[in-house]
Amino acid sequence: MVRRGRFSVPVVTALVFVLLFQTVAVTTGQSDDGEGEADGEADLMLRYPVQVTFTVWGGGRTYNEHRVEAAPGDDLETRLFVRVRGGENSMEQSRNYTVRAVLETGEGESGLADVELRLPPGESGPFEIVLNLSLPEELEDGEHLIRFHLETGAWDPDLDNNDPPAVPLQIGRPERTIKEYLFQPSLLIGPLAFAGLLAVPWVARGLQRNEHMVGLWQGTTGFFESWMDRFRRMEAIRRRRALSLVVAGVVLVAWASAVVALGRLVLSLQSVLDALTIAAIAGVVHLVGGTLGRSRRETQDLRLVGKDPYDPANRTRMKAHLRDASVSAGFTFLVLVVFALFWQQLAAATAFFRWPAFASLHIYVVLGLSIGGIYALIGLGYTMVYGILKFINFAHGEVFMWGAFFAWIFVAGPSGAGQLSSLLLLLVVVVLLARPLSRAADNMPRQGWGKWAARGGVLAAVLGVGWLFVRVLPGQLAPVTGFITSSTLFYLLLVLLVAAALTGLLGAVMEKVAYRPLRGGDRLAPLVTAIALALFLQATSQFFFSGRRQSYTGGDSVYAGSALQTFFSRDVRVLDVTVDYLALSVLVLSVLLMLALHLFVRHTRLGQAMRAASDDLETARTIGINVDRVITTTFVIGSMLAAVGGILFGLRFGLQPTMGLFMGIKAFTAAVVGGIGNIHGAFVGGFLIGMAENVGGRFIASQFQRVIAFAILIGFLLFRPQGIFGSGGERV
Amino acid sequence: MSFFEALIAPFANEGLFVEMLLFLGIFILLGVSMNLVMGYAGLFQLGHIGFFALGALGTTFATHPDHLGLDMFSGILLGFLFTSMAVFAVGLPTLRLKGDYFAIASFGFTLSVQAIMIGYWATGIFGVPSPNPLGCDIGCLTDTPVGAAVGNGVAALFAIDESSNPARVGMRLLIMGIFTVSVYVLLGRMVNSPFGRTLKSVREDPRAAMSMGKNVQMLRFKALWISALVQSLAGSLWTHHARSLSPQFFGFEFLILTVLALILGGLGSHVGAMLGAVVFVIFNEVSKSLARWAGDAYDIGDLSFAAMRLMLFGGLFVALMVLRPAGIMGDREVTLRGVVTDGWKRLRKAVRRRGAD
Repeated sequence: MVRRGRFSVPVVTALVFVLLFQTVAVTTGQSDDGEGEADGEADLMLRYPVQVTFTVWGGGRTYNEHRVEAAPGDDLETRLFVRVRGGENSMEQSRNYTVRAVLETGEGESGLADVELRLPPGESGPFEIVLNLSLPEELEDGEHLIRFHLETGAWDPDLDNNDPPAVPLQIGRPERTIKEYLFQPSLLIGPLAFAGLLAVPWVARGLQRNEHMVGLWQGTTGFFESWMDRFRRMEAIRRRRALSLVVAGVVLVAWASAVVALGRLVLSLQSVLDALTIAAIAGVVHLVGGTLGRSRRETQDLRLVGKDPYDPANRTRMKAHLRDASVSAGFTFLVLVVFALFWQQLAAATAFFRWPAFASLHIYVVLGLSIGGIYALIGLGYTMVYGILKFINFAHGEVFMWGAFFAWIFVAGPSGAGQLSSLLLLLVVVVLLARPLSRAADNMPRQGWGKWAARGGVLAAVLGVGWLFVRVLPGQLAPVTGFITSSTLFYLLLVLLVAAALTGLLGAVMEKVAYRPLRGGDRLAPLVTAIALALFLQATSQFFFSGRRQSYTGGDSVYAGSALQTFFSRDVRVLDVTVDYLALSVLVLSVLLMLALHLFVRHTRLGQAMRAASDDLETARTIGINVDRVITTTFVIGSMLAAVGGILFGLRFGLQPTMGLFMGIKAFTAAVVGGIGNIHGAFVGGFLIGMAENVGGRFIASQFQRVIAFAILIGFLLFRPQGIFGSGGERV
Repeated sequence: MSFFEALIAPFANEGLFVEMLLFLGIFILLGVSMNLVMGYAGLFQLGHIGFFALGALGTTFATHPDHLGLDMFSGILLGFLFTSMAVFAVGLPTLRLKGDYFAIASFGFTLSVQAIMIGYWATGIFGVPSPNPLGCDIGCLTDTPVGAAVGNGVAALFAIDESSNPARVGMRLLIMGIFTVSVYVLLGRMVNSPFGRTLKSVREDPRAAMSMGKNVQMLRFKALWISALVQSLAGSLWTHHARSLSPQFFGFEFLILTVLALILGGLGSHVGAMLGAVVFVIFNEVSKSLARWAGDAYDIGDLSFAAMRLMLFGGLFVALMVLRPAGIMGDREVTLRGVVTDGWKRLRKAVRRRGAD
């Protein structure tokens, strides 16, 4: 009797606790995202304002999203990541700046540290600067500010429009009431976003089934039903084992997080009474949750033996439920009281409990969403190729990198607009000459020396035309160039399209040259080829674009200073989180592209052929589907999506030939998490990976942030290789 | 410097020659050990650079004067310890994965080890001592009359006479050579023992091997562990010769070059793995030297010839895979006796055919 409800009580309690204490956890003060602008002096001849972005780190904690808590006389080792954007001569000259940390207290300002920052020509950072800030011995309790100034040679405070980034410094305990902690709706963003995201594929599936609003409900409930169904069909022992594993994990995580959150709360509570109140609330929650959980179990049991669960005569165990639950609730209460009493000492003794991870969790969820869209876009390529060919296209990460660089050529590369116009001209020429060219190709001699002569002629013609269009024409096309660049927005959209098209072409060529000859042979040979191809693509981009970090704003960039850049860098504040429009557009664009892909796969003949090929390649071939064409289409679409992802990535982080490797692994993880071969799954998986690595990076040392995706990958491959959505969902 | 001089520089220039020999040792160790897992056990395993990096880390911690300051053997042992921990923690569970999943998981392992090491030591740790088998600097070996004679003898063997201290160079080569040769011989015996044959049977048909009572997972794990230890040893030796721990090195490029060297020789052939390493290292060093020469001779702005070299390797590798996926040697073993008897047979055949005409 007593043992029946042993799972549900702790689970419910722990979940409620996490929600409660996340809400309660200390917030972060204002989240200054650390963007300051500084106009330079005359002799640098700055065309655009120098934009300086600070990201401030210290001791594994990000400062700029929360307050720093310290005692007078503490040494704070602070890392600044400084990024300087813009500046006409920045490609040729090195620039000197001074970074100064200033402590602003009620009485006045005092400098804490100065560091010289020397930017080599063409570099825009981010540069890491380590500042050792020694706080003065005498400091009053309360809130102060540490402000970081970036000073150019001749600093004119009047030009300094924005406030330089600042970090609130908290000396002593902040004075806040429980009410202030309890009512912070912004802290619910994280859980809500998570839940909303999880709902997306099920809603989508529901819509597919019924095509009207009823589907929404059915899709959502259908998911849970199918899970419950699967669970019921398991054998009793396996079920118990699975359940206890899940429960143990959830309880462990939930309790750990509740404990940390509670610690932060109690640390800032003013009296023991407050702590007791919290413990009492926890006890009551535990009591209610425990009773409800046990009573639900009883309902299930009654249903199982065929009795009416809603007949009060059958429900005999209520008293036992209450007794059991109150015993465990009392235990919870006691534990929390003990925590409350000893926490102050514990917290003082270790810095561990000043862990700010929970305080700013929602910020990282939003950050994760904004990068997750990029993972999703890349992951789609992996998942589509795997769905059809059952092989991991290792070089897809490099395709993503090339997509970003294709756009870079036309946006910030040397004579980019000329290149683009000559490319478009070439396109027109090819379209016009397509018929005569193909006829000529048909009539080419096929044997003897004529064959080789014809081939040599074609090669020479291709090289000559290539030389004409790459070296000669770009300079001669002034009228065309003037026309297509007359509107920056139009031009940039054109670049987006052309870059995506070129990347698609790259994907198609890659498939044709490297993968098609190996199809049907040993399964590992294409994998090795893909790795070799990754090296080739990476080295090629290093060859053309040098190993240096490039950016869309460097050089004679069309993008820098354009309306689009202003638009993207505009900030929007959602409740408590400041994100820029770029992050939002990643989200919007990825959702739109996913929708487009979904419609394509669902409603076009080619899409249907893709689904058929994914189900069974051989059967698809038998019923007359042109499998080669389907595969090429898959590669082209995947590469184009990756190109969009690459451009969005490059806009925020800059471009480097090596950037494809880790992004590839992460996107592949996204595909695995969502169930490889399942396009909706890859999409959701991308967001999950983005969030996991951003949130997880806060809990573990930042050195391990890049490894989180890998750990998730291994975990999923081992324990749930079919991904979170299993075999359901749209497969391609 | 002319093109021809650049072409033969790895052999003509003494410093480059010694570097090439040391690299050769590393590549043979890596190739032979990777072959045990990839060729014989049939697991496509890309975690070898991760184990290499762990070996390097162990050596750095054990022998660096700022850390423990011990001799090279304790460094190797510490590397073995780290590697074994990684094999148990990551290798053991991932062995359950199939084919390409295992490959990508192990690839992720290499990248992760590198990412973590870059996170901690982005600029590297310098000042790792030269190989110091007795705990003191290599000089205390070559200062003894016997040591000096041995060192000079090895140096003379490789015609090294321009160096200021040939005995020292010779001693370094000797240490690398002893490890390389003994590992090569040991692994050679291993792959030709019942263990190696069982591994091959597991590669060909795991089910058949299982039905014969072989513990397939255990065999694969053993192969993985043994090869990981050899890779860790290679990492230790490399750290001693490079005199630094530089995480940037343990990355994608090195990984793919080692795989290329192995595929070049052919999977599943012990001699082939060694020959592949030899051919590849010579090719690699010559191309490096050519790239350096071209970079000096032609100033074409951003076009870097080092990248072009990798481009060439990538393209060659793709071509190799498309045209000859089993590698140049395939899984044929080459022995002296085999060459002789094979040649004899061919000769006889040719003679007979002529006689028939």
